[in-house]
Amino acid sequence: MQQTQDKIALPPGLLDPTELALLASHVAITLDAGVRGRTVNPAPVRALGAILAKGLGQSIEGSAAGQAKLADPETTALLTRALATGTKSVAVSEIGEVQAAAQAFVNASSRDLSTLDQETLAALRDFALGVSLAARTPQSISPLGVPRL
Amino acid sequence: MKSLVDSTLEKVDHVIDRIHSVRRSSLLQPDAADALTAIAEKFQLRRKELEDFIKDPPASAVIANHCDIILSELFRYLPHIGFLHRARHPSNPFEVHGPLRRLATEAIGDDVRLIISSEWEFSPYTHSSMGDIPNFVLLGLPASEAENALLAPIAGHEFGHPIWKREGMDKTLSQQIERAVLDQLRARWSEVKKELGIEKEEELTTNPRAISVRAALTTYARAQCEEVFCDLLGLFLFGESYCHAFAHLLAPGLVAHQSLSYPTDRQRAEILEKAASRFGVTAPTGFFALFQVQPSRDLSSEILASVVADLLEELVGAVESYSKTRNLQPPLEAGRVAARVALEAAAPASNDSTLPEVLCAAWDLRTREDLWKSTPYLREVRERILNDLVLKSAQVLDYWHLVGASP
Repeated sequence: MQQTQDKIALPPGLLDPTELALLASHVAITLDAGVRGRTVNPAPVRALGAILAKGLGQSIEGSAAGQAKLADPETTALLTRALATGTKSVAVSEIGEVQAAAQAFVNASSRDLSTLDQETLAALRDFALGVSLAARTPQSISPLGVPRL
Repeated sequence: MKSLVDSTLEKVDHVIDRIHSVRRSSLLQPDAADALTAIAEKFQLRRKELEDFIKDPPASAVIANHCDIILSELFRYLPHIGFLHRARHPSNPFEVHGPLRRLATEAIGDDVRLIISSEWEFSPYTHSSMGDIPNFVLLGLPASEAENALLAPIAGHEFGHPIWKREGMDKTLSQQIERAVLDQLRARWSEVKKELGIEKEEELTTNPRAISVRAALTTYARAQCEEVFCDLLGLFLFGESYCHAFAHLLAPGLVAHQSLSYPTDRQRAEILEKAASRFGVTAPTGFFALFQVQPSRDLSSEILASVVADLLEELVGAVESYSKTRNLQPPLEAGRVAARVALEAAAPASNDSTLPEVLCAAWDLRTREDLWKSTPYLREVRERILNDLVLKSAQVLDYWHLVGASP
């Protein structure tokens, strides 16, 4: 009825944050296996790609067709945090950068992963790690937090 | 120093051991046993992943991230395991479990499981769900109130959370919530632009900081709408007894500790009072007045309060339409009267009344000055007697259900 901590939630298009964090971590694990020359399990990669495609407001089938607009502020903010908090954090100054990074992951996820080179796999892994971390990073307690006296 | 994988594996083994020991204990509620099994299975999966890390280690950043997730699962699930452990305690009102579980089944679905326990925190229902394990409704009263059967109406709020998720209310209201947030930011533009450091309204949809603030507000607004939906469902299912239980636990409103995921308790009370007539309920006299005004509020809180007020009609409509779909009934006058007559005679109610009707009658009697005026031995301990009568009434309902004559 009354929780002592603010919960983090994601937009309806995405998964529950803890599930998303776990899925993205599984993606990072399997892509890392690919970086080390092992077999990549495409299932979690495709699942995350499908979720991000939804966040981009497009179907996975149509993902290669081109850019789509980010669907809502929460998805945009999550992916911005993903870029900012990933292993190779990027300071985001324009929303287009976020869109491009998500689009790149969506496009790659629908391809045959065994054809991707190690550098691409490593970049996708780092993006997945960023998503995993961002999904479990609390939002600011009060986004417009100046108290009124 | 032990490796991250080894120490995480050890912690996972410890929690699995603890789950097994709780599962073996006596007086465990069957639904609680199922919950423990589900949690143990979750940690067995994590265990297997850690063993795979030992055989074929991935990059250190990948290991650290996954171990952090497992650590956060330990943080999240250990309180649930404690909750399930305390579910065995005899102070819990087990008598109401049967009628409440049947009501949960009617309201939510056949696969729902209900666990009654207590929390060592006054805030009721700190855990509104069993982590990401679906279909469990947790009814956890503060330990000091665990024996108080008259607080059972609060279960109605908890029934709301799985319904909100199952019915995809998020999706249904998503765009309206997003739009309402944007409208409120525009309505308070002079303050908002100062806070965000932007000049034009159009930047609300293009500036990264503005988008991040909108995102956070939208998330909180969605959480608040879910809470209001749950309150409204509680009101629909339990009538005015929900208001009584709500006020007993939360008045005057803990004004200094409000979370942004909830409307203020005063706003919740105001909403309940407003919605009562829509559900044919008369809110208790003086109910809203029990809740204090929050002395200092920030802009976020004010925007969120306005968003919830803007969406109230949709939320009331959502409860009405869901109740209609599931053929749910609010407490009826005939059942209330029958229960009141029985309880007033210090007898348990019969199966002419549902549990919510019994609870409405019990709260009504509890507030009556003249209750048992001519029987001082009852009057002296009226709260205890009423509580026992509610518990006995719940047992009577269970009996009639078992013999196939449930109302």
